[in-house]
Amino acid sequence: MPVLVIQERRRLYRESMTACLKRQLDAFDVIEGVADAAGLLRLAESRHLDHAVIEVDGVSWDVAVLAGRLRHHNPSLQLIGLAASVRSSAIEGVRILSRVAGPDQVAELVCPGHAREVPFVLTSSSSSASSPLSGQQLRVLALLSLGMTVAEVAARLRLSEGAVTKAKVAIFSKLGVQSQAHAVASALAAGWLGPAAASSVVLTGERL
Amino acid sequence: MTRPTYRTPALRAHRYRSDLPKVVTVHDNRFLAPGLLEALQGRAEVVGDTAYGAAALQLAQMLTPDVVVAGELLGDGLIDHFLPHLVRAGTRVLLVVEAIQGERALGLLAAGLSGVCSADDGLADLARAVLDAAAGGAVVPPPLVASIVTEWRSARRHGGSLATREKLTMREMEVFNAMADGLSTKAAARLLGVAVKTVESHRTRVFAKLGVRSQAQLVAARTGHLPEWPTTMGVP
Repeated sequence: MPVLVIQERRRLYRESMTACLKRQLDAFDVIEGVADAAGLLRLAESRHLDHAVIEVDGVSWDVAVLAGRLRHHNPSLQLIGLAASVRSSAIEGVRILSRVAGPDQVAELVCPGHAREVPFVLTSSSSSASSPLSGQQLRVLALLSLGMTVAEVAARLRLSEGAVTKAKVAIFSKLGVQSQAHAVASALAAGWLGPAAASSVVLTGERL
Repeated sequence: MTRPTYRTPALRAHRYRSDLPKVVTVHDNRFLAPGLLEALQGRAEVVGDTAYGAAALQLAQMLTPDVVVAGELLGDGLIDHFLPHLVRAGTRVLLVVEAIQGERALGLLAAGLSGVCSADDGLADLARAVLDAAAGGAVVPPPLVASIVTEWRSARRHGGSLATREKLTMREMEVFNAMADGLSTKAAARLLGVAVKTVESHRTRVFAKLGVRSQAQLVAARTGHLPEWPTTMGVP
């Protein structure tokens, strides 16, 4: 059976991913995940890996270098990277998914057409107040509203400080404001941040 | 290289057995809900899952879960803004945190949070915490308890009740209101008819008294109507 391993530094998410993918990919040997790049390299030395799902954060380690060193052990290793920012994460030989990707998306990439559905039978979608800000920009703004500095936001979202500053500039220009306090005030008033959007959630679910 | 496109379901729910505790998850990690469902091993059911706070409120009202397992940073803002509404909907809320200070944890617990779980703990720990919370217990990781107790002691020293912070003077209140509306120092000075320097020194004291680090935080705290904040102080 092909072997799949997960690298994720947070134990809770690592165990969730392992549990989900174990159930979804029954034709795979999904093995207990590892916390970091060093752990992944140690594992690659001791056993043959066919697939690895890794974090791409552009801060703690260089994914291209990691990919090269892993492929030294198995040249045909398939790598899937979960990235905080999909657009800026083109890496040779690594297929990139957004960090908010779920079991379905990862399983579909690992084994197209063979993934089993997760056991939710009612899927509904919501149309909350349509925000001009991207998910990334909303996350940055939300953390700034906690009083965090750019450096702290970058560390929390695993982005570079440059990426956070860029997001801030984009937020300012989209909202037509000149300070982050004004940006937070506008976003809250418009209901893009916080519970003002609650009344505009529309449930359009259907039972499968 | 092809990049697959997909949409994040805003809201998911499924049929449930009525005799088990019901759990709704609101978290941007899409593996958490199915992982938790697995770890609960039939002792409780995950009946709904979303990445958005607004959708979570809807689910809480629709499905009346015993516990909502929430992340700190949701698709449409911080849990801080949604917590009071979830609590009002009659559900217990368990927060999954990646890093949290005692002061903020204390504020959230005062706002009705039932417990905190660390993302560095295991899935089995979360499952146990969910069952504890469903049974009415409060769950806080030991390292956090120490800093919460320290924070609580200092709050006690400063006036007896957790919600009491140092009172603002009338001038500081005016500056606070201008700042909380998102005005710049210059605009606030013009509005209040005082020098920019004066506004700046008032602002420094307001930040210190309220324990905020930036104007953006002040705006969010006031508009979010967190119980810890002088939202109802108005003009004295």
